[in-house]
Amino acid sequence: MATIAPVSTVMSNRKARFQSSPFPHLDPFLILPVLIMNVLSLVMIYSSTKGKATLRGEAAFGDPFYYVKRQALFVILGLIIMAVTILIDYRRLREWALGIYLLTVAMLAFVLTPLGSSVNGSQARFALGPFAIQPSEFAKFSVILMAAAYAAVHRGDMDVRRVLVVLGIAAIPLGLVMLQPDLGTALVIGTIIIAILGVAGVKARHLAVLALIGVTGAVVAINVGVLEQYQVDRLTAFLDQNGDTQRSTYNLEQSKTAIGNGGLTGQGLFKGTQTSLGHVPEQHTDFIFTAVGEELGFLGAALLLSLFGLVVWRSWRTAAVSNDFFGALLCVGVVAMFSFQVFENVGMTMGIMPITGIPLPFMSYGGSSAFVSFACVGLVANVSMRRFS
Amino acid sequence: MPASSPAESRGRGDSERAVSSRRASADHNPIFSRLLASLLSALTALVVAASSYVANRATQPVVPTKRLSANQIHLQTRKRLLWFLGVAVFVFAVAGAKMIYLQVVQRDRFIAYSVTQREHTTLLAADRGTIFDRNGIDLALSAPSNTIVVDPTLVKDKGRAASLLAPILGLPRREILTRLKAKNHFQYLARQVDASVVEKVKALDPKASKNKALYSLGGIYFVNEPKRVNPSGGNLASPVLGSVNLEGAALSGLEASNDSILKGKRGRISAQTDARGREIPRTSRSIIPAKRGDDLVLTIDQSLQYEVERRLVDRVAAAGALGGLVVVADITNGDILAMASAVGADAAKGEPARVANGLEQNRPLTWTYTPGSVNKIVTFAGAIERSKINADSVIDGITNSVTDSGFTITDDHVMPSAMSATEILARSSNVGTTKVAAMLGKEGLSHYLTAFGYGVTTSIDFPAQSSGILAASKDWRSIDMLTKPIGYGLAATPMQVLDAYMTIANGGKILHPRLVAARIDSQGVRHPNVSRPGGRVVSRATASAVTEMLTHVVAPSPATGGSAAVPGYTVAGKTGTARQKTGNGADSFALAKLEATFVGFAPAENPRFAAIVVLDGQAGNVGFYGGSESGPLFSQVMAQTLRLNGVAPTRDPQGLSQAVTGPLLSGIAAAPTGPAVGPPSAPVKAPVKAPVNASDSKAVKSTLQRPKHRRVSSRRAAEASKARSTQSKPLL
Repeated sequence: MATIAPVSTVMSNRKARFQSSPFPHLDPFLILPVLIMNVLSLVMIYSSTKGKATLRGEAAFGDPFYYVKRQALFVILGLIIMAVTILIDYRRLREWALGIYLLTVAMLAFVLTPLGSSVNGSQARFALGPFAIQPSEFAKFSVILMAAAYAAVHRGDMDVRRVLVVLGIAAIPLGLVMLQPDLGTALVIGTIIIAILGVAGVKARHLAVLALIGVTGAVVAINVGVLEQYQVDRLTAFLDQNGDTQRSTYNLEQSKTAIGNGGLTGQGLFKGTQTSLGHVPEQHTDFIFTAVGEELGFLGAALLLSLFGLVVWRSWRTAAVSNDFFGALLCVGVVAMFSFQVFENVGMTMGIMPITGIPLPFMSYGGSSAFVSFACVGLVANVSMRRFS
Repeated sequence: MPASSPAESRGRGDSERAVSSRRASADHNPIFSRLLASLLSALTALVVAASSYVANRATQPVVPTKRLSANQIHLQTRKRLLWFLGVAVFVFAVAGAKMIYLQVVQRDRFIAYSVTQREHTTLLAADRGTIFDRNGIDLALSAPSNTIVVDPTLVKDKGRAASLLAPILGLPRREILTRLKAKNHFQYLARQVDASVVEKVKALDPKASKNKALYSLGGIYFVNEPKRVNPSGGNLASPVLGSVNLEGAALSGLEASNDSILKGKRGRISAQTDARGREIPRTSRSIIPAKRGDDLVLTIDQSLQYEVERRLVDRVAAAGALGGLVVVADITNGDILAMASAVGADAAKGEPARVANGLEQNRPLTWTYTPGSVNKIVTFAGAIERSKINADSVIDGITNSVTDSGFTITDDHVMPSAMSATEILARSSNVGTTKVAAMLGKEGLSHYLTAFGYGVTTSIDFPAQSSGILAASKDWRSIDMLTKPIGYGLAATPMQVLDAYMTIANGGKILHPRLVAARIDSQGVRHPNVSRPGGRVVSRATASAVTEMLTHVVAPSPATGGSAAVPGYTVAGKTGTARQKTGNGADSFALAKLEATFVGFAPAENPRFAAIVVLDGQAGNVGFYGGSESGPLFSQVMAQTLRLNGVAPTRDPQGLSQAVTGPLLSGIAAAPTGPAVGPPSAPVKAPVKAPVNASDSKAVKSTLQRPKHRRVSSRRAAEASKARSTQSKPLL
């Protein structure tokens, strides 16, 4: 493993540190919350899908553990992916960034061809037998890697041209994701790129212009008809939550009811009525937070939020103490991704954000999301434990 | 999930709906919402830009250098990272705050809503009780019937479906097509139709044939909707029974006044259901079964009722009347055995009168009129009770007319100037009666009118029953002492008039009439409807004297009521022919039409039955008298009643009838002198149709086994309706 020793380090105890293995520096406060969340995830997925076993025509018909088993498999694979991400020195990944990025862009392009398949009106996945891969999830990881790699090189010298290059790095996968269409992932990529640009030292006025363009673009998109009407409805439904409950706000209303029904201490595990009765659509995927909210109450939901907070805090701290700027930017990208996804997902279930299809990291049912989340945590752990080497 | 469960509106009620409607109006104006969105976005952008600029100004060194030193870069990175952390913390705080709001502050609202969302209650309809006559024959019952409804959106080929359904339902194709094209999910195709119609519609199922138009009957449903049936197939006793609408709500008559007894109690199933409406296993499921309504036993005798109605309609036609009514009551207990109303005759259109239907007036109780001479018994009974006169008192100085305040009371026929009280009543002398009334006095007349039941409703509980009109004596003018004694200047229901005669027949004590004999509860236990005992109005002696006088009314002219005589029995009764008030002022009665009444009871010696007949004369029909028109019907009805109840004749039926022998017109002597005369009737009562009473409750239980009984009676109903339709005058 090629390690570059900083010239300034002279003290013997530090010398001892970077000569030794980086593994003792693996951050337990980063990994433990993730493991806890995944256990909780399996429990909540069971709770919200056990009822499907009685529904003829459902994939889970006859097996209340159908989704739990599959998710357990995803978690095991995710742990392996995290281990691999930790093992490979992140500075090596920097060399591979372009390759990974181009591979992802190619996948995003191919998924739009008949090779990909469409679910819920979104051409987003490759079907592989009983499983499916969503390249848009991997796009998040690739964009973090690629943007961090480029911006780290030009630290302190982010002129307009370079800003445009970074924006271009994000724009290609973002545009392809929008074509699926998958608005949620597009927003995540946008957030990641703004965070990396911001920390990478883009001038404040450039950021301001960017924000202006972004907002104007969003307004134009909504009004000119780039988005489908249902997307506009969903995006704007949260602004008027007293609207037609049968249509655009039905999902939101059921979601809020489930969370509110939990109260302070919750209805009890597997005892949530809204959860058991299947009132919340897509509960095991994007609306898994409602199951936590109803059955474990405010205390459970707050604990879950705290676990996310811990992951975000450790990631941010890793960015602050990172050995190099590339590592810092990687962590910033991961923090931006997690923070935005958690806020957007939890926010949409409670009606403070528009409903877009974004999974809750480590909690929602789904393979691709789990793999990418584990990979990102692996990335942060990687940077964290190699901060002395 | 039912279509009508908007989450929020349940939770918040009306204000919520107001918001929804506001929302709906905003939808009509998308430009407004877009403008608002653009404005908000622009504002946000400005705020972001401004804050970024300020932040930049605060953190940047003042010296503008193209390249920053390593230190400066480091400083900048740290600040940017702190900003970044701030945003993340803010975002988590917002999420946490909203969580507190939903789960702690608004918790109760959501819990309440979740309960309403999963608890589903289905109402179970209760069967309506049956109405029986006094002998357990059905008068009104609820029969199962089918209503055919359609969800028009599920019918594919509407034109073809309409063509197929039209001949089966007996509706015009266009009418069906209109319903099939309705823009909703519910339309009636046919309500309360026979099972055969349902079978025919079901046979249109494409699985059975090739009628694809009906979409596998997907859009057509059959709903069980009990139908209220009159087993006679016609309107037997319908105004008495009243009507029940298609939804099973009582509208009128005894159905309405006894609705709480008949309607039963709706049951309910409460169950916990999931989002797809499936019941959740192992959750509480409460079933409260529907409770069938109790049955009602009336005092009506179905066979007598039928006979009375038939004869009434015939008599109305024969008399050239517009309509009429008959009530028959049992003097032993106050039971109303028959109550019939005939309406609808129209000479101009050549339409005969018919028996009133369930939505028309039950005239004996709800209609009032000026009764006329039949009221004279109040005057006479009062005068005798107060010893002003007796039956033989001779009143003299009777002129042809008497005038007061511009009103003139006349007698229709020339009268002797001196007559006995009996003769005055028998000849129905108006002037003579006013002289008797003058002896009784204003207070006395007012007292007895009230005591005999005028001005208050009878004891029968019936919707829209009239109390008649009787002014308090302090409001009487002097003319009232001429009009009220002869039955003018007041309004009464025919039932009130009959009530007064029942009191006389009952020996001077009020006999409260009743229509409902008993209620039979779900256990088959009979709960009799006990009439309260009536108070005494006049003494037994007075009642006997008046009865005696009334028997002289039923005698050949110059007595007025000869036509009401019943061979073999002594009838006590009174005629009345009253012009009806149609306007105000002096000529208010001048061009009026006539109401001809005969009311009486028999046998006079030991009264068993009382009856009243009122016929409506056509305007200008001057020869229309209570004696000539209503008397014959009274005779027929009373004869029928006595015969059906096996009352032994009190006179020799082979010999001369009451009407032929007649009483003496002056100086009455030879006539029967009281109830003691004549053979005792009680032992002769044939128990052919003994009325059901409390001691027969076992028999009631066995004969009123409901399901079996209803089947039998339904068949009888069908037969009856067939009979009605095939022969115009069926024999009983």
